Order: sequence, then C-alpha cells, then structure tokens
Amino acid sequence: MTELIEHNIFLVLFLPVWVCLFILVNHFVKFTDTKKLTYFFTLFSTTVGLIFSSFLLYSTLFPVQRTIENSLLWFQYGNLSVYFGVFIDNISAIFLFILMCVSLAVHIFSYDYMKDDEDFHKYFFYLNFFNFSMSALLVSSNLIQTYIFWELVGVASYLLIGFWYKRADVSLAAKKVFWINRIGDFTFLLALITLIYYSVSYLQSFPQGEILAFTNLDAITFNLQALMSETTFVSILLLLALSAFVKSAQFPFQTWLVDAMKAPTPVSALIHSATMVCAGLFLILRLYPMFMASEFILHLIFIVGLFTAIFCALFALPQRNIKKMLAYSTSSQLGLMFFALGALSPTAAIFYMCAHAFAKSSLFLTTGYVSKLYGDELNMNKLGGVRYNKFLLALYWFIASVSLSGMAFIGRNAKEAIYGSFFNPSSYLTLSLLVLVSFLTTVYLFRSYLKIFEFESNLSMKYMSSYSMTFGILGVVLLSLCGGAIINNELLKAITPQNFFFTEYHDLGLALILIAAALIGISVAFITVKIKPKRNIIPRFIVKFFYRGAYIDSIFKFIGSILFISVCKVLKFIDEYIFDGCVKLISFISVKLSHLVKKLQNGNFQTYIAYAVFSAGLILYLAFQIYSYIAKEL
Amino acid sequence: MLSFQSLIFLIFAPLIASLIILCPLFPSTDTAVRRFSKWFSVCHFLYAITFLLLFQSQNPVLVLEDELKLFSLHWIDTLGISATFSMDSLSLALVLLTTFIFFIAFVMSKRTIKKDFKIYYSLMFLLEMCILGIFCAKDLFIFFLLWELELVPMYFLISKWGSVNAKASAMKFLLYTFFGSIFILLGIFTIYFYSYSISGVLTSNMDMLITDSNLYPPQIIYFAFICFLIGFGVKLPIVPLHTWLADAHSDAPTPVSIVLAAILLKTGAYGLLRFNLSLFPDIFLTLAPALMFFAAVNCIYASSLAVVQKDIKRLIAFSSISQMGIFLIGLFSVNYIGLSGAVFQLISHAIIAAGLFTVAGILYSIYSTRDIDYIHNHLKNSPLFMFVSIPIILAAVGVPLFSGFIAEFLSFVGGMTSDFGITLPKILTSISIFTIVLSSAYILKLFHSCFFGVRDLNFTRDISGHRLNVLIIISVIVLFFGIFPNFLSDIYMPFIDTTVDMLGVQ
Amino acid sequence: MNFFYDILIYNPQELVLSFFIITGLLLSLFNNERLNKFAYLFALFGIITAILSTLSINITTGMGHGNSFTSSNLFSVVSKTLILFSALLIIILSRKIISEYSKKAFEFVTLIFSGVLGACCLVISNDFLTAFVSLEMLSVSGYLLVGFTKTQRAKEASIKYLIQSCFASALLLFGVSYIYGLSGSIDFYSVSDFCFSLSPTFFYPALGLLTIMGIMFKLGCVPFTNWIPDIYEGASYPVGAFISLVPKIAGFAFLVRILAFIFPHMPIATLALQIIAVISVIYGVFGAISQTNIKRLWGYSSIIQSGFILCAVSFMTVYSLSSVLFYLGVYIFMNLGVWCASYQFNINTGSDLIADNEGLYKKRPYFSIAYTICLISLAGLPLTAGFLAKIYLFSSIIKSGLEYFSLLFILLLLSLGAIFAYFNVIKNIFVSSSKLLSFPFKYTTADMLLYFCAFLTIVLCLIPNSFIKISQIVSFYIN
Repeated sequence: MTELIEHNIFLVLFLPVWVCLFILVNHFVKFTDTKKLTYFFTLFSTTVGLIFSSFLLYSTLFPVQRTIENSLLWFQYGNLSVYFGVFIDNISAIFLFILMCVSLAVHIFSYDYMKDDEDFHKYFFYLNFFNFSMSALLVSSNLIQTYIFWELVGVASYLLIGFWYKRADVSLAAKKVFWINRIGDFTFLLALITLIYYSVSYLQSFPQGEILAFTNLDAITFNLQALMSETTFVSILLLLALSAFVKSAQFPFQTWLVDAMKAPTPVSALIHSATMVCAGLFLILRLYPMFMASEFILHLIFIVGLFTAIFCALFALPQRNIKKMLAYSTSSQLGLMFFALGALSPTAAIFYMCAHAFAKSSLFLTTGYVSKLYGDELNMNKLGGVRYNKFLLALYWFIASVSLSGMAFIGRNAKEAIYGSFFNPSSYLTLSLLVLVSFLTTVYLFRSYLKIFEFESNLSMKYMSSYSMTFGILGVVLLSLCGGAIINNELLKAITPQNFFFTEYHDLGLALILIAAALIGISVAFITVKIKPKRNIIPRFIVKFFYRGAYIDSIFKFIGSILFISVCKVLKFIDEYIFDGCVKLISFISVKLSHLVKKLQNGNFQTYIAYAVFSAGLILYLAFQIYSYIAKEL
Repeated sequence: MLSFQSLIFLIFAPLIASLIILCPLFPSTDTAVRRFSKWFSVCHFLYAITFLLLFQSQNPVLVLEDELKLFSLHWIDTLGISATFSMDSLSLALVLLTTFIFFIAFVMSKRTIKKDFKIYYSLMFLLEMCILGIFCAKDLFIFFLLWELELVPMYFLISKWGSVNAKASAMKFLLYTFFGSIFILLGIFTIYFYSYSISGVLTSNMDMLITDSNLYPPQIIYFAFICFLIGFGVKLPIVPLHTWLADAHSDAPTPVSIVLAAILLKTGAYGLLRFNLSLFPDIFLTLAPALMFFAAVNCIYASSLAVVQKDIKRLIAFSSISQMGIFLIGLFSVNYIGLSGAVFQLISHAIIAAGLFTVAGILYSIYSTRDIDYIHNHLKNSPLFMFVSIPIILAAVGVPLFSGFIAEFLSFVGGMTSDFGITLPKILTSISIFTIVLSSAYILKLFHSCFFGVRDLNFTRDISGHRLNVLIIISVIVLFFGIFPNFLSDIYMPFIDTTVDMLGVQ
Repeated sequence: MNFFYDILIYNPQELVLSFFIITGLLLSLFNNERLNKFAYLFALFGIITAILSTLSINITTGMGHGNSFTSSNLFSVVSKTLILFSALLIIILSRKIISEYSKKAFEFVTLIFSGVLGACCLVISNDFLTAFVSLEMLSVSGYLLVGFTKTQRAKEASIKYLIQSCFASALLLFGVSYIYGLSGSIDFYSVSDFCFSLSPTFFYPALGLLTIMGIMFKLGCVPFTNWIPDIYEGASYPVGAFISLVPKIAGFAFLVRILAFIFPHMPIATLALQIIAVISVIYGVFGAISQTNIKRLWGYSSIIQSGFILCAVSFMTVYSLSSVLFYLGVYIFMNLGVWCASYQFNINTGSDLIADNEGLYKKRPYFSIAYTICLISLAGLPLTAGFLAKIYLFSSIIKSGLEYFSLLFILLLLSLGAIFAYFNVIKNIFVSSSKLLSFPFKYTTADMLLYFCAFLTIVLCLIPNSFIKISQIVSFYIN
C-alpha cells in the first residue's frame, strides 16, 4: 500500500491542477455550462486528497516515524542546483491532513453559497489553485521550493480576496493584503539567498545534491553555523521568523488578516482561519532544528506569540463585525501556537493548530450561513434570534466556541497540552497570562453567540435551507467535537519530532482552572450583552483604541501611502528637474546661443569687417598663448 | 549546413522585404501590406528556428565566420574594415527574440496604425534588419554603422505615428542616443588605433583586435572601457542617462514602443556583454563591484519612480528600467549563475514588456488616453481581457512559476555569490532584492486602477481576435519558460560557458 | 616658346577653358536669339572637353615638373578634376537660369568658365603672384555671378561679396609682401627653402598666419563667416551652389599646398587652424539651429562642413589629407543634392522657407525620400557617404595622436547640434498636414540631379573601397 502511495505522489499532488485546467477549458469551450460538473470535479479531487493524506499520515507515523522523499532536478546553473520534489515527514503529513479535511468541508459548503454568483467557475478555479499550492508548500523538499509555493499561496489568497473585484473596497483590500504579504516574501527571499550563498560557495563538501534540502537539515544547520558568524546566523533566523509572523498575521501584521475578511466567507474559512495562516507555523516547525540553535530567536517567538495572543484577544472584544472579530481571534490563537513553539513544545502547537482549525473553520462557515440568511449582514448588533429558526447553527456555534475556549472536547486537551508545561510554581506569571487569554477568548466568543443567536432582531430572515451548507459545517463540527478521539495521545507521541518527548498531561487542578476561567468568561459575556450597564466600565477611548486595532492599520496606511508616495514624489521631482533638467538646460542654452549668432548677422556691412578684424586678432592671440604654453611644457 | 548565404540572408531578409513593400507596384492597402509583413515575419521566425535546430545538432560553440560577399569583399581594404557577421549562441538567442517580438509588433499594429502603411512597415523592417545586424556584427565599424542606422527609422516611427508631442520626444530620443554613440565611437577609435600601434595590422575585426589590458597603458584601456560603458549605458538606461526612455515610450505608438522596450534596450545590454565583458575581461572584473552600485540604484530608483507615474506607458517604461537593473546585478556579479540569470532576464523581460505594452495599447485604444486616473476601467463585461492579462501582470511582479521569477532569482543569487572578497556587492544585492516589493506596488497600482474600480462603463466590449491571441501567446510562453527554464537557457548556455572560462571565474 | 608648350602639355584644362571663355565672349557679342539657345549646349560641350582633356596628361612622367609659374602634380590634377566635375553638375543645374535670361546666356556661361579657370590656376599655381591673380579671377567672376539675377537682394549681396573679398585679399597681400621681404622671393620652392633654414621665431609665423587668414575667406571659416549667409540668400540657387562648391575645393587645395610648402614644421599653424575650425563649426551650428530661410541654412551648413574639413587639413598627414579629399568628393554630392532639392522646391512653390515643406511626402514621396537621404548624409547618419566620410575624417584626427581626444569630442558634440539643425528640415517633410502648397509638376534638371546625387551618396557608402584607395595614393604627391 505504501509503495502505491509513494509512486503516484506527484499524480495526487497535481490533481487540483488538472481540475483547474479542466475548469479553464470548460469555461472557454463552454462544453457544459452546468455548475455541477466543476463542483463534482473539485469534490472528487479533495476527497481523493483527504483519503490519500490520511493514508500518508498513517504510513509516515506508524509503525515507526519515517519520511517519504522523492525529488527530481528542476534546473541547474553552475553549482546552484534547484530540485522539485516531495519530502513528507510527520509534520507535513498532519498539516496536509488538516488542510484536506477543512478544504473538503469548505468545498461542500461553498456550492450553495456561490450558486447564484456568475463567477462560479472562476471561484472553484481559484480554490483548486490554492489547494494545489498549499499542499505543494506542505510537501516541498527544499527551502527554495517552499519559498516558491509560499509566494504562490500569497497570490492565490490575493486572487480569492479580490474575487468580487467589482467593489472598490474589495480591490483596495486585495492590493493591500498582497503588498504586506510581499514584505514577508522579501524577508524570506533575502534569508533564502544568503543561505544559498553560504551553501553554494562554501559547502563544497556537499555532493552536488539538493541545496538546503530538508532531508539533511541537521547537518546543514551544523555546517552553516560553523561557517557563518553568529550575527549573520541570527539575522537569517530573524528574517525567517519575520516572514512567518507576516504570513501568520502576528502582532504588527495582523491588519492584513482583518482586511482579508472582504473575501467570500468560505474562502476566509479555508484560507484565513485554518490553512494559509498556519503556513508561518509550518515554516518554523519545518526549520525547527535551525531555530533551536539560537536562544534569542526562540525567546522572540515566545514573546511575540504571547503578546499577539493577549492583544489580539483584546482587539477582538469590541468588534461589531463577526468576521473581523473572528480574524482577530485567529491571530490571537496563532499567537498561542507561536508561544508554544517558543516554549519548546512543538507537539502542543501542532495539537492546538488542529483543534483551532476545526473550531475556527466551523465558526466561519456558520457566519457564512447566517450572513446568507440575513442578506450578507455581518453586524452582530443587528443580528439576533437565529436560534429560534436555525437551532442547528446555534448548536454548531456553541460547540465550536466551547471547544475553542478550552472547556471541553478537543480544545481542552489542546489547551492543557500547551498550559501543562507552565503549571508549576516557577512560571505562574505566564500561566496567569495564558488563563487571561482563554478567559478573553470565551468572553468574545460567547458575547457573539448571545448577540447573534439569543435575542430578537428586527431583520427579516430569508427562509432558506441548504443541505450542502449544513453538511459542510457538520463535518468540521463533528471533527472538533470528537477530534480528541482521532488525535489522541498515541498520534501525538508519533508526531513529536525526534529529540522531543510528549507527556500527555492530565492534571485536575489545571482542568479546573480552565473550566473556571471559561465559566467566568461566559457570565461576563452574559452580563455585558443582556444587562446593558448604564455607565460603561471601560473608558470610551480605550474601547475605541481596541476597536481600531491599536491604530496599526492607519499606521500601515500612513507608511504605505503617505510616507512612501511622498518619497517617490521627491524622487520624481529630482528625476524631472535634475536629470531631465540638464538635458532641457542644454537645449535651452543652445537655442539662446543661436539667437545670439543671428544678431551677429545684422546685415550692415561695417560690423562684418569689424567682426573679421576682431576674430582674426583673437585667433592669433589664442594661438600664441596656447603655443607658448605647449612649448613651455615640452 | 549553415552555409554563408543563410546567415547573410537571415540578417538582410527584412531589408529585402522593406524594399519590396516600398516599391510602387506593391498594393498600398492596409490589409495587404500588414498581411504580407505578418506572414513574412512568421517565415523569418521559422527560418531563425532552423538555425536553432542546426545549432543544437552541430557542435555547441559554432562560430560562423562569414565574410559578407555582398560588398566588395572588404568594405574598406585600406582601413582593414570588412563587413563580417557571425553568430554565436548569445546572438542566436537574441535573434530569435527579435524575430518573435517583431511578429508581435506587426500583429499589434492592426488598428493602431491608421495612415501611410507602406512607409511604416518598410521602416519597421529596416529597423529589424539593423537590430539583427547589431546582434551578429563582428566588425567594430559595421556594429557602429548599424547602431546609428537604427536611430533613423526609430526617429521617423516615433515622430510620424506617435501621439501629440511625438516630434519633440523623437528628436530627444535621436539626440540622446546619438550622444551615447559618440562615446562608443571614441571607444572604437581607441581600440582600433591602439591595437594597430601594437600589432601593426590595421583591422577592426573583433576577434583579431588585441585588447588584453597588460599591453595597453592603463589610462587608455580604462578610458575605452568607460566610453563603452557610458555609450551602452545610455541605450540600456542606466539611471543618470535614462530620461529619454520615458518620453520616447509615452509618445510612441504601441507596436513601436513594444519594439523599443523589448529589443532596443537589449542592444545596449548586448553591447555591454560583447564589448565590456568579452573584450576587456579583467577590467570588467576589477570594476564590477563598483558598477554594482549602478545596478542597485537602477532597481530601486526606477521602481520607486514608477509608483508615482500618472501615464501608463511611462509607468511601464520605468518598470523596464528597474528590470534592466536586475540584469545589471546579474551581469556585474560576473559568475556562472549571475550571467545566466542576466541573459535569462534579457529574454524574459522582453516578452513581459511586450505583453505589458500590448495591454497598455489595448487600454489606449479603448479609452484613447493614457492617464491612469481617468481609465478606472470597470471591466464588467470584459473579464476575459482581465483574465488573460493576469499572467503577464504576475510575471512582471516576479511571481514564481513565471519566467520573471527565474531571472530575478538567478540574478540575485549570482549577485549574492559574487566573490570579490568585499561585502559591498552583497549589501547592494540585498538592497535591490527590495525591488520585488516595489515592483508589486506599481504593477498592482497599474492593474487595479485599470481593471478594478468604480466608474461603470457600459460599452466596453471584451477584446477578441488578434489582440487576444497575442496576449494568450505571451502568457503561455511566460508560463512555459517559468516552469521549464532549461528550454530557454540551453540556447545561450555555450556563450556563458566560454565567457566564464575566459574570465576564469567560478 | 617652351613656356607655352609646358602649359599645354601639363595643364590642358586651363587651355581648353580659356579657349571657351574667348569664344563665349565673342558669341555673346552677336546677341541674337537663336544663337543664345545654344548657350547651354556650348557650356556643356566646353566643360566636358575640359574634363576629357585631363586624360591627355600621362600621369607617370609629367608629375613633379614645375616651372616658375605652375607645377602639375597628382594632387592638383585630382582637385582640378573635382572642380571641373562640380562645375559640370552646376551647369546642368543652371539650365533653367540660362534659358530664362537667354539674352545674357553666354555671359553667364563665360562667367562660370572664368571662375572655374581661376580655381584651376589657383590649384596649380607655384608662386604667390599666379595664386593671387587666379584668386582674384575666381572672386570677380563670383561677384558678377551673384549679381546676375539683378534683384535687389542680389545686387546688395554682390557688393558685399566684393568688399569683403577685397579686404581678405588685402590681408593676403600684406602677408605675402612680408614673406617676400623676408625670403626675397615669392616662389613657393625658394620660400620653403628659406623657411626650412629659419628657426621658428615669433615674427615669421605671424606673417604666415596672415596669408592663411586671407585664404579663410574663400573657405568661409571664422574670420570671414559673416558674408556667407547674406550672399547665399542673395544669389540665385545655381550660383549659390557654385559658390559653395568651387571656391571651397580650390581654397582647400591651395591651403594644402601652402601648408605643405611654407609651414611644414610650424605647430603654431596647425594649432591656429584647429582653433579656427572649431570656432567656425560652433558658429555654423548655432547659426543653423534657429534658421527659417533654406538658403541661409545651406550657408551655415557649408560653414560647418568647411570647419570639419579644415580641422582634418590642419594635421597635414597623408592619412588626414586622403580623408579630406574623400570628404570633399562626398561633399560635392551631398551639398549639390540639397541645393537641387531646394531649388526644385523653390521653382515649384516659389518659397524658400523651411517651414513651407510641410507634408511634402504626401505630394512627392520619392522626391522627399531623396531629399532626406541627402540631408541625413550631411548630418552624418549611417548608410550615407556623409557618415562614412565623417568617420574617416574623425579617425584621421585620432590617428595623429591620442591626445586629440578632446578636440574630437568637441567636434562630435557639435555634430550633435548639426543633426538637430538638419532634422529641422526633415521634421516637417513627413508630417501629414493639410497645409499643403500647390505643387504643380514642373520637371527641371534639378529634379534629375537630386536623384543622381542621392543615389551616389548611397552607392559611395556601400562601395567606397576604390575611392578611398585613390585618395590615399593621391595624398602622397602634394608638391
């Protein structure tokens, strides 16, 4: 069975591409205009991907951890040989599995969501393209190939965000998202090229094989560290970490995730909650031996993760738009995962990633369904009373938020995994901060639950029940419900990288603290939503500060449009009036001189003779001066 | 079987075509002339392909030493000037590129050229003959003659069919490039007479010239090198000498600006490769780190200028200046990777620039204005035009799986791995890597303001026919060379091998 | 007796010319209509016999022989053929003017012949006396030709031409008298023997420069450039062509002989000539840039070209002299082509403003293509003989020493300005504008001559091999 998988890895990997091509040809040839065919082919490719990735997961982890490697030469210039291939180990298998689960659910969901949109084919074309690039990113065999698909994923998200290109704000958001992602690509490319420089010019000892291949990452790290000075090594790691932060919307860069919410909701469910934002996590996990080499970088990831977790949770509180709130909650949960990575517990981070993927995608899908009901209305205050007509949606939302806040199901085990290592007297401060984060998560989750599902709303609900949507969400909710059964301890033990160990941690005290924090959170949410306190407890400007996401968005807008454009304008001025200026100056002077010469030709005769005598004398004088000068010299 | 006739015929076929068109009994209706020139350029391209096939089959480094029998054997015996043309792998690649781009230019001049078709197509063919001659010239003075000859048709093409103040910018183009060619002439004279004083043989054939620098007094060889650098720097716009390009582009008609951006800039790059790199290898090695500064300035300065441009064609012109900056990085890195990346960039940027200018031409024909703010094209009913131009836009930004990325990646890696001992080239390369952010800024600004936007125009109809085919061909080629770069780089690899061995560089 | 015999054997052209001048004068006495019709044919016959008579000189033996008055060498023979050839072209060009002023037809012809005779004698003269006499003969026929059409501007131009050239001849004579005073003789050979023995003190070169300054008038270089635009504008087209060609070629040939004899080792002379050349090119370029009248533009363009030629002549090496000869040969066709085109344009539209030839391409496509080829050749852009001649000229500057780079760079920059000036004319031709003058087809010999010159400029660039070889051989035998 495993040989079967290994041989046709490329076939399955490229399945979404064939589907894209089919959709493209179908669109042009207008062979069949039915939406069913495209939908069927996409579903087929994702289900095959899911089955295949579960087999992969099984074959790489049990009976013993092993990796599947297979790469072929793409191009070679001098001693730079770039390969294109597959390297599947435990990390990429689990990430691939999660990707396939969520994308299957999203594809099932998005049929009804997109049924009446005229760009139906284009939507599935972009989704398949994203599927291909994300899975290729997860299974890439060397750092160069990772970078290539890292950018392609960014392009896919740009195309999907700018899907409804007819609206001005959507196109602006897509441009801004692509621009910020590009900064992440820049840092990644810079680090990549310096790494290539060292591996190409110094590591001649290496066979002419793959450069920066993941197969022998430890050997590479050891050699590189020996080669480079400490500062260059740390700066390369810093650049890589920075690009991971940008991609996973960590603190300074979380604004692009909020802008990405203008995409269709199933897209945000797939890309901006479960898969693409975890690419940064995946990069650090993939290069973990390298990051382990420097303490400073791990501390940086630790602090940035914690900082984002707290602040993004705070930013999520006052949000009115559901999707913006969920976006901030995504970056705060991701902050937790980065924190776990920084705290040297990668398996906890992976476990939490799975839990968060299922919960968050189900939340996004339910929002999609709700907004469809209420005619694309996303403002929480306007919505309400959905529980009375759509009980199932309320149930989905409840289960997801319970799991995410760590009260029960898979969320709790994941949270315990992360908090476990801090449940000792020495690190009470971090533990309290973590509990604060989970408290805040429960507050904004249940506030949104109450606002949307509990009380009445004056909006009229368009009655619509669609099976594809409900089944789509059901899949993911079930996964987060009984995910613990699938991702149990044996699986986690198998996932843990070589030189780590995973102690599954059951401590009653920690569980009690978690549940207590969640319950207090629910009550606080109930109080703030039900009984509107007369004088608000938190002062007005703080709420404004958090609502605007600490004005980071406007800072980015300032840098992006005002500062940068003014610098370019100055350069344009320089270009026009200095470089071009001297060219114009020369032509101006020559025209003026020609007018002067015209004056000389004034027609009356005496001046001609005067000029003749004068110039004859001048030439004689000049000749003698220069001649005597030259004679002196010789 | 590359007999002498075929090389000479390859170069002078366009001249014959232009004479055929010019003679009075040729029908002067638009369709007849255009169809003739289109099919002629297709056959010419296939004819160049046969060269490629023969090149691959025979020994790789095949230098065809062909005296041009047309002239009286030697052009001027007493001065040792003989019209010799020969083609090695680099000129073969560029010849293929030229014939392809001219085919695209002829296809694109369907609606843009509305008057005096005969003289237009004959001038275009004359221009093609000059450029082919430049790429294959082996003699200093023949190179210079063709280098200047290409100005005359270009001047008339811009001034007669250009937009409102085309005459002024055509004159500026002519004088500025002539100013550049003054330096080339000075450089040619220095080598020509000094190698005569050393070897006693008065010849201007590039192979027979003696240009190894230890025979020359240093100040003369450096003077010749600098002269060539400035001369070719004007044509391949190196920043301080670039102001003519934006004006020439904004006023030239679409097919002419396609040719100008895609090929005329490459003649400057070819000059740098052939004169500065092959004739003065060790001077090039000593000066390369310092010249890397120009490459970085070219990249950053031009792309930041492109962001604030109001005119579409000026924006694309500045983008091609910054892309040429990436070529310079690859060139001045002087190692195997960098050089192959630089030549790859030459060809891939030519195709991308042709695509970008086709898009600009189509938008100009719809709106008859080039002002970005005005266009704001809400392409409700021409999604096909947008969908086809997405690959070109992404290729220009340098997204992987497109040829732009391969060229950028190789040039940057080359720039970084250039071992001059000092870290200056590395810092400059890392600065110029920032252009991928800037290039995404201005290309997206162009893309979004042209295709997305508020203003609702109900009459825009989707593009079809010849313009759609051109865009499809270009996107397919850009994608194909991005995924399989070996197909393109195998053509010019022998040149890189010989130069790298000559330079004695890793 | 043998004196007369000498002239016959070695200088047959002068004899033929003088014969035709005398018969022309006699025929003009009769002054009847039918006879005047034959004036054009008479002129053609005369100039052709003069050209053919050069074949009778056997190159091998006759060279190098010089009696007191004249010396015939290969260089003078070739420059004489150049002069006669350009005179032939000018006579063909001036067919219309001869038929127009049929009463004074013979008078025009004799004037042309006397100018040509003066030029030929100037080239072969061996001492200052014959040189001065032939110079004056050339100038006198010039004044009368300029004033031939008797319009207001023509009369004013001829008077100006007269007084300016008298001043120049005075300067020349002043220099010659001093040389005679010092060296005791006016014969080139004895003067050159004297100045070899003389150490180059300050006093002597000053006198030499005075004589050179006198010759500059004929070439239209710096001290005497003011007269050119006015006289070219005043004179009719064929006469303008005559003045811009024949005196220039004769002047350069004579200058070369003087420099070869009297200032062979005088660096001061080369320096002075280079300064004159550069300043005259500057004057020509900046004059030509903002010109509106076509004839004045050709005046400034002749100043520019003579500046370039003078710069090459100042080096006096075999290589540079061959480039000068080749340049002069090409210059005949470029200049004449341009003059014919503007003459034809003037005949048809009656205007000689540059801006009026807007949209010419629409009316007469092949005429404007030929016109552009000649203009491009004057500007020095490729595939025309002008380009090749300019390259050859500039290479001669560099060949005589790499330290002349700055001079070459200045000249190249100025040729940039010249291109701008010439393209002012080309600019309007191809504009498709409605302001098109009525352009009836009145074919004249000028049209045919234009195509001939344009064809020759292209051919000279493609097959220059033999011409350059001839100029290189000829420039050995100067004295």
